[in-house]
Amino acid sequence: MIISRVKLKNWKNFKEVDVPLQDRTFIVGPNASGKSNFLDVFRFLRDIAKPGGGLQKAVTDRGGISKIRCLAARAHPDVEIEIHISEFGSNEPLWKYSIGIKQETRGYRLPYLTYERVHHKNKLIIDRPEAEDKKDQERLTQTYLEQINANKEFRDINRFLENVVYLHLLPQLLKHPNSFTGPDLPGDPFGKGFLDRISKVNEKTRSAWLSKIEIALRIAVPQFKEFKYTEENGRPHLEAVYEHWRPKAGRQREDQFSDGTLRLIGLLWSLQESDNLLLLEEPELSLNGAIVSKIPALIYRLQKPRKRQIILTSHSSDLLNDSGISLDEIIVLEPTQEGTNARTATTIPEIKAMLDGGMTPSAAILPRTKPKNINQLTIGF
Amino acid sequence: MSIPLNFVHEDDLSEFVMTQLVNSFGDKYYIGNLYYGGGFGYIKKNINGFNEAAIATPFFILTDLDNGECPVKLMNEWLKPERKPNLIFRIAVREVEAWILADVEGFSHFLGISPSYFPANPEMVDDPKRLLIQLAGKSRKRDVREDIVPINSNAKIGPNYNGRLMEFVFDGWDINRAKSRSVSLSRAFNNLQNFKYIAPTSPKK
Repeated sequence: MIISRVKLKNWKNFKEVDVPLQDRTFIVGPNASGKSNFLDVFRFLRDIAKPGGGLQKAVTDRGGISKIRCLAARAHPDVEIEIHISEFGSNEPLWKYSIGIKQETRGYRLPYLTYERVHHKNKLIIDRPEAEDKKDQERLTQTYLEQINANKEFRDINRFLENVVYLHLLPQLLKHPNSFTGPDLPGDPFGKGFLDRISKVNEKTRSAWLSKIEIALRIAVPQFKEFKYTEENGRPHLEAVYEHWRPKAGRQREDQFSDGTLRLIGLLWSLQESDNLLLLEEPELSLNGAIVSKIPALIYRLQKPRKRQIILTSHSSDLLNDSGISLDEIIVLEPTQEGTNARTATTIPEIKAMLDGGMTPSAAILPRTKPKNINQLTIGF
Repeated sequence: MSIPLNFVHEDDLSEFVMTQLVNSFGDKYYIGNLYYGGGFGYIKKNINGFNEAAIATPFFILTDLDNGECPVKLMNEWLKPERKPNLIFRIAVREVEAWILADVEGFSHFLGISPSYFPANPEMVDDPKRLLIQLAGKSRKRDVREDIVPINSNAKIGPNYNGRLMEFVFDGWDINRAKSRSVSLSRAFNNLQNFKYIAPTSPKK
């Protein structure tokens, strides 16, 4: 299943958004336009749906309603989220899930639902607040989505959302996990426990996936020869052998891998790992442009058999240079005084015209995401 | 109502010059998106795209003639099938640097050198960028000289070439003086002055 449409009101940078999403979706925009905040909608829904999660925790983890609500919100202060869920390759909504959230004006100032609605094939099956909710207002501090007793009729949505994966692998965190103490973040977004994730996969699957990564690394990383998974004192490790004039030398562990190698391993692993919605934050980071230019095709090949949706953010012209990317697959974020606008690149006439004239998506779109007056950046120094 | 004008340019300096040119018409234009890819190859490769897009929204393209024979020939070569009405396509003879050198009084003051070093007709200079750098090398202002002149023969321009020239273009460059010595600049100016935006048939908001 995929999320085929998202509608937002007052979510972080976005005052109002209504965009269709494809199996493969690229989010582009200037710095601080809300690319990560756009992805955060899906993480937010996951945090509500997952075991041990819930509306209260998802909001608290983000610093309360005041951190979530759009600064441009005025007359209609509710934060509203609606998603449509469809089969892979389709945009016919199978499910629609929507919530509105507000904060109590006194007392504990808990976030509560102004509504929660579920449609199945366009039939409204849940419509809160219900009579019970009106008798007991406290019920509105929890969604039905997070309650097993209440979500029986739409368990599919719950399962889909709780398995959303977000990846923004930080190589330093993976190399030196012990230097970064403190509680682990839910869902391990930055790859601190990446090796543990690898260790939990059963041996046969693991070696199959790793051997595919090995083939890719041999092409992408000069002198790279072999790659394997090892365990030492119960701790998982990745070990690579590089070609070297001393045959026994050239053996390296993950803490000696380059940032680029680790990010590539992380990317290739995550693409194989599951069948659920995958959110990738700037997969081009630390990677050579030639490798980056292959990412869109790679994503396409790996998502297809798994019927898996992948949404990613990017600044990279190498990545968007692929003329196989359709304008439907690109969402352009444009900041304005009244919050950020999000629209599909197809709805911008000059972009379509430029592609008709033979330009690549990156040449037509990325200049729009460039900061105005960028030349003055150096003046202040 | 202001006309949104998207820029397509070869380098930073062209962008400053275009901005200053467009701003000299007050409210007539406001600057839309900037398309820039480094060098004329980018413009040549994508010109069809910009031309098509000019149906929807106006574009202002500035490129250098460099060693080309004549601007009209270059335009005809690049722009096949034909120029769309909302496309302003201008060519600096031979480089946009010549438009800077054309403001002799302003630029000689900026560099702190005598105007007598400047060519009477900057459009006749084969390599205006090289001349500009040579003149900057004579500058009595050390920071100006160090910014514009390459650190050694392995670099083409100085480490803050664009930044320093931006300062001049926005604060010291006088378009009226400059266009009296440059036909290509004068034509570009007139084109912008006479330009009328033709809205696409299905009006957008």
